[in-house]
This record gives sequence, C-alpha cells and structure tokens, in this order.
Amino acid sequence: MLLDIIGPAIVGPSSSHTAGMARLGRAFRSLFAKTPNEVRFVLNSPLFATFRGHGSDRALVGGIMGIKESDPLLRDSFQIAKDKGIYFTFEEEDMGDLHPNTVKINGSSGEFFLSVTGASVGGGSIKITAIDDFDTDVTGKYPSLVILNADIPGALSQIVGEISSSDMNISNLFLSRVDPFRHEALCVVELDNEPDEYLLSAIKRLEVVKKVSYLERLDSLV
Amino acid sequence: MIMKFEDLVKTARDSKTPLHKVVSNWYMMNTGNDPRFAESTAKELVGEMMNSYRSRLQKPEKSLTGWVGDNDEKARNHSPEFLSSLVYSGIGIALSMSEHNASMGKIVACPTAGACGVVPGALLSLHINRNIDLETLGNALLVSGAVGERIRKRASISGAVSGCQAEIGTATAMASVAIVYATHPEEYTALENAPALALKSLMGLVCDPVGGFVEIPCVKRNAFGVSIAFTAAELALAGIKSAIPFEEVADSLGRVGRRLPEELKETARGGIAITPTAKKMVADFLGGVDKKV
Repeated sequence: MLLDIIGPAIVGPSSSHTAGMARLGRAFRSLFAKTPNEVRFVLNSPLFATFRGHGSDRALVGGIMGIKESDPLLRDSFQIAKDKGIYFTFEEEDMGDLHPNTVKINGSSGEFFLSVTGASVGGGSIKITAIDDFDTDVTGKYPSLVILNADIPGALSQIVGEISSSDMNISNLFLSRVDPFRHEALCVVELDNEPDEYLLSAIKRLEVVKKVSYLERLDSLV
Repeated sequence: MIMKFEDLVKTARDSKTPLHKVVSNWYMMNTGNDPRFAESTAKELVGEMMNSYRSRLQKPEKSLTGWVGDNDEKARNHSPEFLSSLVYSGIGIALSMSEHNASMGKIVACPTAGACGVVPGALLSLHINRNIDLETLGNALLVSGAVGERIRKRASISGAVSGCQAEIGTATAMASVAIVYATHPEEYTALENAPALALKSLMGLVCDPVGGFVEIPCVKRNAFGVSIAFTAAELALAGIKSAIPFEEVADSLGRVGRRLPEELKETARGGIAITPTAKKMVADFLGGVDKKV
C-alpha cells in the first residue's frame, strides 16, 4: 500500500528485527492484558545470531511493557524494565522449519502464565502463530478476538450474534477445530473497530466460550 | 486498480491535474480511503523526517555495535570540494538518518529502515538549501511513494527477497522522482525517466551486511543513493531518456532479485560480509557482548 512505502516512522535499525519485535512484544502484552513480571524470550536460531546488534532484545522488552515501535524509549527499555522490577532472559532454540524470525514469549505474573509464539515476517508486519497450545494465524492488523469455544453446533452463531448485536462489523473470521477429543475450536474474529468492555464480557459469559483473549490493533502509520 | 507509473504520469499530463493529486486519487481507488488522508500523512511523514534529523543533531549516538556513528559529523565538518552544496548536504543528511537508525533512533522507513536516509537526504536538502516548503515536499513524497509502490508490486522492496537493489535502489528511484517533482512538477518526461535512470544504475546491487546488521555497508550506501538520485534527476531534466521504460526496469529488478543467490540477500553469507576483516569485527563484537551479559 502506498503509505506503507513512504512510512511508517519507527525506531531503527531494522523493520523486521526491531519494529516487528516490538510489535510481537506488544501482542503479548495485549493478549496477557497486563505487564508480566517475569518473561522468558525463546528465539529461533537465525534470530538469535543477530538479535543484539539489531536491538531486537530491547524492542521485545519494550514491547511487553507496551512501548510502541515508534517510541524512542525503546532504546532504554532495559533500564525501564529494571526500574519496574521485570525479570527477563533470552535463550536460543532451533525451531526447524518455523520462520527464521520466530520468537516464543513465555511470560508470567503471579499465578498467571501465557505463551505467545509469533514471527516478524518483514517490513514490521507480524504473525502470531500460536497462543499457549493452539496454533493461530493472527496479524494484528485489526482489533482481534481470539476465542476458544466448544466445538458444538451453533457456537459460532452465538459468538457472531453477540458481535452483531453490538453493531460491530467483522472484517475477517477464522474458525478451526483444535482438539476433537476435548471438543474445542479456536475462533479468530477480526473487527473493523475496537470492541468495548461490554462486548468482551458478553462473549465471555456465553456458555460455549471457554476463553477470550483480545489483541489490539498493532499497526500504526505515523 | 492497476496503473503503471507511466499511466499515472500520463493521466496527470492529459487531465492537467497535478501528479500528486492523481496519486492520491489512485490511493483512494485502491484502498477506499480519503485521498486527503494520503496527502496529510505524506506531509506528516516529511515532518517526522525533519524531527528525526533534528534529534540526531541534538543527540548523536554510536550504533549498537559501535561500528558506525560519527560519519555524519565528519561529513558536516568538511566543506565540499567537488559536489554542489545541495547534493553534499543531502549526502550528509542521509548519513545522519542512517546512523540515527543504526543507533535505535526514530526514523521514517522510506521504503525500509535500512534505506531510510536516501529520500530524506534529497527532501530535507531541498528544504534547507532551496527553501522548498513542507507541503511541496509532502506532495513530492507522495509521488515518490507511487514509484516505490510500483517497484514493490513488480519486484520487491526487501533486501532479503531481492537484495540491496530493492532497498537502496528503490529509495534512490523514489528520491530522484521526488527531486524532479519538488522542483519541476510539470516536467512529465523527466518525471517518467528519472526513476528509470536511477534504478538501472543500481540494478543487481547485493545485500551483504556485515554480521547481518544494518550498518556496514548500509549507512554509506544511503549517502551514495542521494548522489545517484540527484544525478538521475539532473539527467532527466536535461531531456535524457531511459531507453527502457521505468516499469520494465522494475520488472527486470524483480527478475535479477530472484536469480540472486541466498548468500547475497541479507543473510550475511556473501559479499563483503565474509571478508576476513568483517569476520573479525563480528567476532570482536559478539565476544564483547558475552562479557557484558
């Protein structure tokens, strides 16, 4: 798209290794709905080879605190994390056929734990490929609901019903069976606008819904 | 809506509409968004380039590896002996932006972070030395975006996909058309030819970053990109035409990019990245990091 060519304004040095990494961190922050106080970043080998020289480490740490890829504070993220008492480590893993720039973010805060796996696929764009045990395909280009629901007739219709009764438009919708034994399916709903608290809690209250995570829109042009 | 860059220029010429308006309408037809949004965003992005240059001058930092970071200051402390002050100042600005990028400063990825110095080098030099206002520069940036978008569609703007020709090459083609549009918005023939001339001169350029970092040779290539952009603009305004039209040159860039081996596409496994000096620099840097951690 034309405006992606002449922008965006981001912190360097690399759109895929820095801006994309900050976005992956922000995706984690958004899905976890808070800042974790302990994080283990597991980097695919090709990424691990160059991540320090690209500032990927600072970008990831900044991202999990919600610092945007356009914010010069990214450079000082280690100090900010230290001040906030956030503990983080980086390690290498050979992830085989996964995208070279894949990172697995394992974060916790007290009894809560979340694992998000994603790749920076170029030009700052990202793809969330797994949330906890479930394979996903979420880009963060839209405000997205990631819903784990019962794999039974009518489940999707109830979820979509809540969304349309709050007057929201769905831009894209993906549904896939994830566990035939536990009768679970994963539903990703990409919306045109940010959903409000009311809609989120209405979906959470549905009996067919087991878990809802919300991923805010991660793209910004300027 | 598929339109070649030549078609956009032809539409402007035939309908006597400024080219940047044709481009913003083309943006509307492709995205459904308000064309005024494209124009205001382009102007804002020129403002961002300006901010970025200012913050670099206020607080210059070394790059993350320490390999680059003082080239822009050296350039500023020298008065040009061979080049015009307009071109030389553009070269200095490109070094600044690119070193700002390498030190985790905020830049405008135009079209990519690695090639972020070329277009601002041209635009800000025109602002500083020729007093060309921000609005005109925003319009020129928008026109340059059409050139970049066409290269992206027909080839790629990613070093990992098509080599440096796709990054510095694209940025240089974009800068050349921006220079012509900011100064001679109705020289249609020059507008069509400048980006073709620029792109041809960088065809085949490989992406061979030392250690994989956006520093060597990236920073200095941004500077050379500016000088080539001014050369292309100058030749195009002289009436010199590219024998091969822009879109066909862009196609060729894509074809060459596909034929380039992986070693020469951002993997740091070829070109200057595997020289003894480069290997030693990388080993020294990584050794230093391990000691710190």
